[in-house]
Amino acid sequence: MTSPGREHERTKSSSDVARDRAAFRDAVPAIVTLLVVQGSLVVLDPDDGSRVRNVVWSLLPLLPVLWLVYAQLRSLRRSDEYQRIVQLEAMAIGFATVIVAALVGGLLDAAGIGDARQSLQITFIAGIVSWIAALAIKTRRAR
Amino acid sequence: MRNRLRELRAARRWSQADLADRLDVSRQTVNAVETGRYDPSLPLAFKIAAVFDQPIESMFFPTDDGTLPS
Repeated sequence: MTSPGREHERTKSSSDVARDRAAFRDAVPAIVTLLVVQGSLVVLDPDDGSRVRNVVWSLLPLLPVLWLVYAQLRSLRRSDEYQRIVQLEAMAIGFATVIVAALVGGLLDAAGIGDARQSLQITFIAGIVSWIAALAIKTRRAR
Repeated sequence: MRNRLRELRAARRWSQADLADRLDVSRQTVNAVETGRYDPSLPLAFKIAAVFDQPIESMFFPTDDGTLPS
């Protein structure tokens, strides 16, 4: 047993390690698939004028993204009660960021300022970044 | 809500990770409960009491102003 004075020696419990490994196993194949799909879109350049084919190719990255969402859901289910609250609060911050960014993008677009496509990408990135940042801050506080 | 988690854990010379292993939760959860940032659910509170072999009412108390856990 470790004494209370030497707590810093082990920062993770067995369940932490098990959960981290399971989350890694779930997420890595989805991330690799997403990178391969995105890379193949760039390399193969499937824009051949066929509308149906373009739609299929454009939406292809959705499959690994949905896989990632499923991995995240599984990770959330494996979390204990405190971690789940921290995760959900971080997600709420990310969601709020997306709502505000989408509103700002929409208003600017209506005023003829900026490009809606760029706004969408910025909204997506801002949502993900704020989610991760909120999670990092909340997790750090609990150390 | 106040609790005696840190005191009882120190008496047994367990680290937070050791206690987390026994409770099957993350070390962060133990830390959050100990520091009063998080009030555990009733099932987890009973589990904590069982691990320390103490009645639950001897481990968790209302705060000084008498407010019950949020």
